[in-house]
Amino acid sequence: MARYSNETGDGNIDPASIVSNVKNNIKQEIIKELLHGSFQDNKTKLGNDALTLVVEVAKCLVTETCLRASSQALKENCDKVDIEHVEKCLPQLMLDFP
Amino acid sequence: MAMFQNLSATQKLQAAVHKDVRGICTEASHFLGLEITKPAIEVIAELVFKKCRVYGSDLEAFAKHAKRSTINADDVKLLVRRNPSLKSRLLSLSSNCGKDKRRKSVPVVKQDVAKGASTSGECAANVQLASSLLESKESDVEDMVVDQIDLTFD
Repeated sequence: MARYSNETGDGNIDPASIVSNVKNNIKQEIIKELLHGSFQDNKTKLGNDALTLVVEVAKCLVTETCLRASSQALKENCDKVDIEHVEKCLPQLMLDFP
Repeated sequence: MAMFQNLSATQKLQAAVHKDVRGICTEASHFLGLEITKPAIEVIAELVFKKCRVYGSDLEAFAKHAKRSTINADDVKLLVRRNPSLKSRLLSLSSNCGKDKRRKSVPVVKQDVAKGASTSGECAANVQLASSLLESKESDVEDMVVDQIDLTFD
């Protein structure tokens, strides 16, 4: 389970390697439905390459939030990432992400 | 307990997002040897859900401003312009996308060729002829065809 915990040491995380190592993905159909739901104009269409990129942005958002919350939990010597850790990293995350 | 079928369209989408986010979150936190609790996952799922809606309206506005009705990759790049690392990641991904698109056309050819090979029972020369007739633009078609032959003969 904790494959990388020894390599990364105390809070020294390499996010890029973890992001590319995460195999799970958000399904394209879900993001497509979500985006179509928010369009004001019915004529707006979504290109295939654009959809791929939005899915990647969403995946990065999830992974980044999770990793920031995890490093917050490590700082506080907790072994479970709780809602308070997520809340603490939310403001900076909202500034960093579009 | 509410059945999935009885939920509204928005709730179904939320549930679907939640499921995928849970998968990513558990995997990412396990890399650091941590557990992630259910409320934390719910917050992140809600965050992604709301963010995607904002992205949708932003992307639509960008496309409209460019006098297009189709959102393309440039609009997404404009969306992430303030985050340089995310931008470079997307740039590398979109440059890989072109290769993937060309590769996508190969399996169709591959299947046709494989079907021809299995029905006729002929060997590689015939298959290569067929592949050159179908589409000889791709340089890696022949490699993949050879792979396919090995698979079928196994």
